[in-house]
Amino acid sequence: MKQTQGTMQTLRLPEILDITRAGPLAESFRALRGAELAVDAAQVQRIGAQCAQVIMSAVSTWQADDFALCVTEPSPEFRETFSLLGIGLAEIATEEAAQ
Amino acid sequence: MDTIETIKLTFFQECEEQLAELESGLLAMNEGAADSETVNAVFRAVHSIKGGAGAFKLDDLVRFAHIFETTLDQIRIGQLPPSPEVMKVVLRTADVLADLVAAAREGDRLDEAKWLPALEECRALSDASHDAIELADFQPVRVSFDDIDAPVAPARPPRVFTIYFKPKRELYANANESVLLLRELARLGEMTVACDASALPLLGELDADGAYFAWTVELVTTRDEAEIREVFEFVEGDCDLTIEGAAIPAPAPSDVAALIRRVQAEMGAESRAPAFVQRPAPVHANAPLKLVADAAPSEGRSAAPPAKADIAKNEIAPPAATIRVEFDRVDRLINLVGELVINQAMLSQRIIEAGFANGSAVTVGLDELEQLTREIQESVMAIRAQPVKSLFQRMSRIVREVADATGKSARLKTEGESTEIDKTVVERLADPLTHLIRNAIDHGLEAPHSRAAAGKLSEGIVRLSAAHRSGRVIIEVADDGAGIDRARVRDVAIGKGLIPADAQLTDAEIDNLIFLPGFSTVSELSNISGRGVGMDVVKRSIQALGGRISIASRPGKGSTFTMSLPLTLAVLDGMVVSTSGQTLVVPLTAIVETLRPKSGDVHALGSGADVLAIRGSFVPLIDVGRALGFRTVPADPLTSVVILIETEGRARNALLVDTIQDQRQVVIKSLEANYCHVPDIAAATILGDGRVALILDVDALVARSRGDVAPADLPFAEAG
Repeated sequence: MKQTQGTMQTLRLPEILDITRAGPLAESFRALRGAELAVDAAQVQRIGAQCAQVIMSAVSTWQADDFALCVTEPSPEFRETFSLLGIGLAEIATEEAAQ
Repeated sequence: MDTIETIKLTFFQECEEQLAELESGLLAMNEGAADSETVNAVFRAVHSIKGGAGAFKLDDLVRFAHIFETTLDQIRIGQLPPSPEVMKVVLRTADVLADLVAAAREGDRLDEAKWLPALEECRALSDASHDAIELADFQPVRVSFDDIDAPVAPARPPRVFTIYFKPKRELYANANESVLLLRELARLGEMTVACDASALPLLGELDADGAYFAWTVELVTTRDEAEIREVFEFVEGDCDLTIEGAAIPAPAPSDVAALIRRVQAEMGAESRAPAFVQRPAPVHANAPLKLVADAAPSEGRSAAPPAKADIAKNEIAPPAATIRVEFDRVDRLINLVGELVINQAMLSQRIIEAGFANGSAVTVGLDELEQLTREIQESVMAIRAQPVKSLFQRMSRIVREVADATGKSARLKTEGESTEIDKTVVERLADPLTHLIRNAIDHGLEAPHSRAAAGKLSEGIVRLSAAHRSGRVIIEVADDGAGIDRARVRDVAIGKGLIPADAQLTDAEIDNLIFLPGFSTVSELSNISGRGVGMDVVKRSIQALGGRISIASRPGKGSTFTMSLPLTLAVLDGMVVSTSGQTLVVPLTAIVETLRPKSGDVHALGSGADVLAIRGSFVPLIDVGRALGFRTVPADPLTSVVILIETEGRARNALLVDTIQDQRQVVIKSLEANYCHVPDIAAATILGDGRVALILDVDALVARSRGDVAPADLPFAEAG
């Protein structure tokens, strides 16, 4: 059972998530550990494999911590890249924005 | 040379061609011609350089070309409009790419400070384009290039390839991106991809710059393994890669799904629409995630309309078949043909001496031999001839750099780029032309505010043109700047003791002072124009090519430097003449007519100067034997022959010689290479009887005789 800590936090992903942004992205996730998290991917225009790694590591981490994490409103580019990378979004993405 | 070195040499030769193609395409784009064919050509050029560089582990070049290619890709797919600002950066990036290629060719590594800023500038361009995209309006158009280069081959049956791809950390560190590689793969056919995330740690242990994902890709394609490997050619050292191929078993007639799959695969390579087939990813025992491929359709890109490039490719004419030949081999051939010409001349001489009658079988045969020799010679010369386009393209970079460095706005306009000229001449023109272009911008063009004050457009124009005229090539460098500041030039010349303070000089004479040795010094030159050479060096370089340079300048309107060059440095058609017992050759291109003066045609004009009356006008008459110091006593015009010539400046003069021997083709032997420069003499040749004859430099002789450039009482008499 997922723990809930009141209001869900939201992490809004920037438009560009290339190799230079993987480090900062990991730091952002680390800072938000210990609470439910909605990852807003609506603005993402470009995402590279290393940032995808960070996101999937965060998904596992949140699972391990027993908190909920979902990706909201993934942009077409986000979807396309994850599809290209062979990563399914079905388990983590939701079309409903977290409140 | 070992095989690798040979291949490497070929690679750099191809790089040269690709860079020329790149420059040409970018300049066209800069002029507004950003059609898909041009953009494709530009993209392909960079892609090819990157591919080859990867094979030779030229990492800097690969990395740079990769970023450049990414930016060009965005222009290609319409994400990044080729605005003037964008093109400025792209042109600069192309310049640096050329520098990296040049450094790699020399086996050096270019200092990072010289290319990293350009790399970042180029990268920022592509990042900015992403930032600027409005999602709602974003309808990407995928344009394929894969088929353009591929020869039309019979359709191959599709095969299924299993590709295992595991990037190493270095792959990302070298600015490569797995997403792009997978996207490239998707273009080749129908792809099913499974991600192995079993090595991915939790956030606490995660190194964000690490490489944890690995992929197993099933690709159904009509392409072969080599084409698949090409996708990875520049990251091969930075990843684990295995590719296994197998034929697709022929489906049973009832297996409709398999048939459709096969048809789709065969069509896939043409439609270029990436086709992803979702399938469950393999489940790994320790995988922290159970990932199921997204069922959502890939939007946007997969619904791309037919690629423009596919349409355009049908219109591209096949390039002419070519072979690559070492220049040395051509040179040897040229020399042999030169010897053949001399030998044929000697044979003619012997036959004349033997007294064979005109029309005899021997003389007819000799005429045919002469004709054949000429045709061979012209054909061989055509091998060496090349358009000046490549040379002119190089100059556009100089214009960009100097304009940037001086804060001036300048545009290079070129004309006659297809004019052909001997390759050696083209190569040896690069330095003098570079210097002239630098000068034109640095000294010729005014600063933008001065131009505006003078009612000119703030952007200065440097015009570079080439044309064939009277068997020579005329190259002009013109600017629309302020023109030569004659008062200043005169002051500098007096200050340096080059001319007496009270010297009376015409405007043309003052303009020509800039060609004097010692007029320019390093300390006085700016970083742009000055590289320790002055215009005298430019002039000497042109003269060494058998050419001449002249200057015309109009205050407020600009200056024009005109270079007249021989088409080839190997042979020329000349008139063989005698004077004072010496045999000389007068280039035929300069000769208008020959005549025997009558009594009363020659008039003395002052001391030692004669003019010839011809058809109602007077032209200066130069006694060649006396002018060259073969004799001191003037020749008797009535027993001599006059050769009427036209110089580069279109002025007519008459040369007085004793007799005309013959008119023939002569092989040019450089005096500079074998002896040293001799005033008024362009080169030497070997005649049919084995004697050496000097080839007159008609313009120099006329200029010196008239005192146009170098009056005898001035210290620059030897300026040439």
